[in-house]
Amino acid sequence: MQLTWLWRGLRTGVLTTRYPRRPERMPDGWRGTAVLQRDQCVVEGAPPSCVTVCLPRALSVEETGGDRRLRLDHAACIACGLCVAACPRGALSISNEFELAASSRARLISEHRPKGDRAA
Amino acid sequence: MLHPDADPARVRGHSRGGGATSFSRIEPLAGAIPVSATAELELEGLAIAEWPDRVRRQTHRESVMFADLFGTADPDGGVSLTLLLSLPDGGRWLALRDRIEAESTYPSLVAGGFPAAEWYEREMLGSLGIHPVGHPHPESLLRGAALASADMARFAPLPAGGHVVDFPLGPVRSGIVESGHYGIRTVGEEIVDLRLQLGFKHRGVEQMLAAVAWPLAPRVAERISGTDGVAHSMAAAGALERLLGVDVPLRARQLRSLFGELERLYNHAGYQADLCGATGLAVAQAQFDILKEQILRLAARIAGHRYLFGTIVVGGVADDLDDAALNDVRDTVRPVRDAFEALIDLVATSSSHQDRLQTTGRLTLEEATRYAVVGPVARASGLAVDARRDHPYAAYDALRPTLHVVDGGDAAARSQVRLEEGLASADLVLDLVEELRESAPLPALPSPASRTLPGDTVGFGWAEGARGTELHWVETDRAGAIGRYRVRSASFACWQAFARCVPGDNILTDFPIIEQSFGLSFAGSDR
Amino acid sequence: MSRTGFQLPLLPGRSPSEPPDTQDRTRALEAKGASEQVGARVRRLFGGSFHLRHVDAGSCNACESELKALANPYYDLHRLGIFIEPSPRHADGLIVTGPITLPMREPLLRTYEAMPEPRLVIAVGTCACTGGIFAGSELVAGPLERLLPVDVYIPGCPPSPLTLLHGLLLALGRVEEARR
Ligand code: SF4
Ligand code: SF4
Repeated sequence: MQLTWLWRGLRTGVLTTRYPRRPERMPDGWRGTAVLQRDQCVVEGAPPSCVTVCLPRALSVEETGGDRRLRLDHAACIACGLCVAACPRGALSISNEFELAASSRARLISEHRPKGDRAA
Repeated sequence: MLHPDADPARVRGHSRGGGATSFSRIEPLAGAIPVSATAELELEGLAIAEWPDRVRRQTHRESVMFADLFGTADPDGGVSLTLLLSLPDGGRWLALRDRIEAESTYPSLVAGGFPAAEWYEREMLGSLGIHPVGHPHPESLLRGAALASADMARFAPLPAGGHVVDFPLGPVRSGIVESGHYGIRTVGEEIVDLRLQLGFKHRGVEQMLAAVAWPLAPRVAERISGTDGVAHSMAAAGALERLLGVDVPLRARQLRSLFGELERLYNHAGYQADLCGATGLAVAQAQFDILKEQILRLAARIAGHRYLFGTIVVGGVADDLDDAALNDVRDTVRPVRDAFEALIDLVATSSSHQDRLQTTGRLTLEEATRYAVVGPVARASGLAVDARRDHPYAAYDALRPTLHVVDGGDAAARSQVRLEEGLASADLVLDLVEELRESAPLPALPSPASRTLPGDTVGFGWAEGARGTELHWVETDRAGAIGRYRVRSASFACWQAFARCVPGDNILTDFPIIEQSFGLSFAGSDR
Repeated sequence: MSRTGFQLPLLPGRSPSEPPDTQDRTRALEAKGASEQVGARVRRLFGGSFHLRHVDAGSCNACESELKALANPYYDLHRLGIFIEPSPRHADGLIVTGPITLPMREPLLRTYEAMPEPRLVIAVGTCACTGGIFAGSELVAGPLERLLPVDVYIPGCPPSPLTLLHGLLLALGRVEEARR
């Protein structure tokens, strides 16, 4: 009996990923996280339609001195993809990127940059 | 019995757009007792005191199964109590409903002949403060933050003699397991009592389901129990579709069944892996894990999510599968199926594994019926229930899945049922792939998402997940907002029987195996 | 970006066998980025292998399923010297899933306190990172960063096993972190 199991185990061969030594990728359609095309977004509507469909409130509008910016928090995004369809300008998409971990929240935030804004 | 004010046109039930669609119109929650009847769900207003008699009369005609008991806080302060029963012979559900004052008492249904109601009444005691008179243990089931320090004081009186040791287990336990607390009392090796404390993972999903915009409900429902995500989102979508009177096109229903069976398949493989891990059959564990991973990867390729989140939407499915995707399903599932079949034989003849499972954690048919368990746990105790057969939804009216029922009731029987069901799910997936090749493409239907829900109405949906039947019940208020969302998860229905079947013949080292053989989820029961 | 809760002042108290030049190393480490610091610390203190303790603080169980998948032959976590520990007393890192429900708050903090220093905290899944869909609910005490200093955030609902590998290796300073 034990031998049968051993035989099955050996026959399976090596399946193990070599990550991180060899790069890996997730399938094309896999939803990793939302991606904001920073210069496409116009922050239209109050709130914008993408913000209303986002269940975990990963999308929000930051208002500082009359300047409205869309903020995307990748740490909150559940990659449901609903904002992609909601955006009339195609500013949001879903990527299959999987190397998403970060050591600080700040690194997980994308902020849209209005056109002509040259401040980093 | 009709309510005197009821408008007969409303009472007759509303089949808007064909026989498959029906929903129950209820009278305004405040005041009148709702009275309704439809093809699938019969809703009847009746004083609680008369419920046992009413059910007894029904039992003479057909088999009646306890499904759920829950209370709804009405806006004016009262509580509507609903007893939900499954009538599998006719493929119908029967709901009895009565209204009582908040913080008041009512005759316990445990005393009235529904032993399964015990934990349901204790849950209502905690959440609504209504007291069941005549209940054997009237104490709250989910005790919120107060239960963090588990008290072992609630054990049964000490047995005379023997060396009594109490083991508190949890909520944080070793390895990667969900949080829950067990108090195990042993005399010598034997487990003489078991206390199960639920509620550590209570995160208010029902309240959230009532609060979010209704088209998002399936997205929240998935996260009740992630590994039953398809079943929960299907049940949520079903409830809302019946509420709206929306018909789901055939191809969408077939795709739902396909996703549901894929979910069952990876769960059954993962279950076997965990069970083999518990008995120390390491190679088998790895082999089943490989099969599970292969299905999860398939899901990521065809649906963009390893756990198939996001696939079910109200009105149908999010995306169709093209021929390439269907080929992928076939080419992946076929070898998985064959490997699964080969492993069944190997597991059945692994004596070290089977010895640990046989006679361990036995749940008799009588107890299974008594506590109205569902899913593979019920079927392993000889109780033939399965929502896919008893209340066909999605594409199951045409598929007619076979039920795998065995008598043992022990861990070996539960393992056997889930082995056979895994194989059956793989076969169903392969059948569905062929049917999907033939079926007409998904029609472009207007999304119901912009519609408002009808007011004062009940929608009810269900689905059979890997752990059993998940029930979702939605009630709207006068304005059409969701006033109450109730989820009865399969795990909740089974935990009560689990706690009963551990003490007795089992020794302490059996406990992990019994727990694993039930394969329940705390996330589902705690909500 | 300063991980003040986990700065190296914690180090001297750790063990009597600490090499005498700790102070210098401390200064050298502080100059590096957070993940490098963590990685260097793991290499030095944890002797290359990394032992983790898991606490489920109210997850939906998909995150657990993905964590379990790390042990399957496809990912084989052990090959990287990472192990899931049965006891907090021997753990170097704490992985937390779920939005931290109220009843799990205390058990979580107690587990953290039982761990020897230095200890890493890794938030697994959107729920632990930000509360996810449960953010703002009065029934949750989270997100995790409200209760404990978080060293690595692994987003995703649930994070795929490869994302988890990326996060765990990031904790060890063996990979680059995500950049936005
Ligand atoms: S993908 Fe979903 S969760 Fe992520 S930003 Fe878009 S709407 Fe929000
Ligand atoms: S992050 Fe998502 S998958 Fe993980 S526990 Fe939360 S809801 Fe579940």
